[in-house]
Amino acid sequence: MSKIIKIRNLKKNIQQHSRTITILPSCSLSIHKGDMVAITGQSGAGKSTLLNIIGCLDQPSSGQYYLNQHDITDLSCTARSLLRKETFGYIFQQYWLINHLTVVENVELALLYRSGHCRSNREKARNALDQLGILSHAEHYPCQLSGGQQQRASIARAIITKPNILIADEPTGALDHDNSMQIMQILKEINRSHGTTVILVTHDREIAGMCNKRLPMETLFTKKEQLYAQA
Amino acid sequence: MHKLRTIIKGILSQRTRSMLSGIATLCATAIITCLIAFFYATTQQMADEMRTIQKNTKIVVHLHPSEQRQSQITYQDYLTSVRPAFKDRAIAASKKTYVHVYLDDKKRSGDYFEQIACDHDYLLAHNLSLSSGRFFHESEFPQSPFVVIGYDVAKKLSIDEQSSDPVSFFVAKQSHDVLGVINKQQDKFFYGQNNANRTIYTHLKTHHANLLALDEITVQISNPQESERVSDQVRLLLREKFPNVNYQITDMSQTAKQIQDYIAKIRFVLLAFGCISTLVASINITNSMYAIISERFQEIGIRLAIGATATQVKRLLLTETLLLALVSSALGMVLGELSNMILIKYLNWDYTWHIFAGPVSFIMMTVVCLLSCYAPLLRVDKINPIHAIQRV
Repeated sequence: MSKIIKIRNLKKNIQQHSRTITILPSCSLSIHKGDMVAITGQSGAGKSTLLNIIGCLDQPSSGQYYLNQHDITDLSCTARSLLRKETFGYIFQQYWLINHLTVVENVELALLYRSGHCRSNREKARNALDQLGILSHAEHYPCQLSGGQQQRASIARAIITKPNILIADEPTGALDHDNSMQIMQILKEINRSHGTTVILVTHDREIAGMCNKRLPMETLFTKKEQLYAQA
Repeated sequence: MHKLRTIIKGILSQRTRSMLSGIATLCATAIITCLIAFFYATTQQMADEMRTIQKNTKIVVHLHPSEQRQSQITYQDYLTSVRPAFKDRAIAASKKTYVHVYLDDKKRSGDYFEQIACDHDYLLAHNLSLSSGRFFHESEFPQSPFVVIGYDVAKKLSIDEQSSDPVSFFVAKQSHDVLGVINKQQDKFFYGQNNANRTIYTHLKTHHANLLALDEITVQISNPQESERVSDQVRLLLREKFPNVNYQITDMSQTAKQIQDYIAKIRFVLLAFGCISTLVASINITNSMYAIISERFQEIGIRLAIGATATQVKRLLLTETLLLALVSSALGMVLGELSNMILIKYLNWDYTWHIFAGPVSFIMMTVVCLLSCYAPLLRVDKINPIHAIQRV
């Protein structure tokens, strides 16, 4: 299988009161197309930062990031927006649905930005909600749903554009065990049936165990950084 | 329809902010509608005024003191019965003026002492006074001056107005024939008091030396630009020919210019008021827009994360603002037009209602709203989606 993501010595620093703080030490990794990868690690290890950079939501301070063999390290904001729209789907720990829109409108939103206003958008959104078993809540507002239902709506929004890569930041972090298992089953099903590459971040071993591949953060750091981390 | 519903939901998600922006836009549009209407009307009025002045530019020379002016005081409302003895002699109109009469010349006071002043031309012009006959010219009876007396005077002197017997009495040591008796007056006031019944009216005995035949000279000028030069020439002429006469020159074009300046000042104040209203509305909209972006920061982040470009997000916010601006400007326009109508109707304002003021202010305020959004919307370009979602 071809490498869909290749990262070399990627690093993220932030400036705080004239001090430079490293929030993601230099790390490297490769992810193949169709993989379902769990990035694990302790809190503060930089999992989410790495995932945000992979999902083009953030920009690295140094290093190289290749997506489908194209260097996208220094893309402009607009180019990253386009890439997000075309390639990625996002699932967040806190779901991040827009509160003043109904569930179906939230799901439809992803299509709206991809293909503009289209009569079929609403139908596609309803199908996606049906697929995730929350069609009956289509006209509800996010605040009227349970956590699990909101996360399903969030997944529906992420998969409706049929992205190549699904980015999930602690998708089960705010859910109970049963709901977590159900969400993971849905993600596995998406990965299996559509061949979507799923990259998720979790600190839950059980969740990580359900993925094809586990990438503990420590193993991603380059040698120098590993020594530093161990120390 | 669906898109419109989504936009309205976006507007309503910031109900208070949207309402404040809407009210600011509405008020500003209404004010500007009124101001534009007034501005246009006064412009038209001034243009008309100027056209009139261009056609009839003149200089008026007021000569004073004018003796004639003093004489133009009434007893025009009193009917006088001409005594039968004088009726056959009533043949010529008097040109003289009645002035002070004293029964007791030494004390210059008396039972029937009153100030009397009346211009006979004035009486004639108003078709007044004598029930029959006329006043006499003094020159007709140089040896026998006459008077007209009030009702109470006649009663006191026991003069029968219907009697044919000639009656005369001394006023200021001179015998005066009684020409007629003024009919009894009820609630008529003469110099603030009901003295008509107690008054003796007689001819002016002493002509004023400076009695002038006219008190106003009007000079018509064909070219309004020349008015100042003509004024100077008139001044020079009067100084040469009538050095003792006081006068005042009113240049109509100057007067018109003063009025114009005055109206221009009012217009400037109103213009400033309109600009301030627009500025306040604009600042309010800008402020609300900053607040809306700040409060919808997370939502903007989500939209950016799921694939919206900054331009798409800006377009959405701009569409929401535009819709709000259109609705509130339209309401403001209607309110402004109604205010115009009411002001013209109830305050009797002297200007015509121009309906175009509403649409002009509507367009103006919509443009102002859109421009006010420009700076806040630039912030969207700088938003990092993940920072926005996490509200960093």
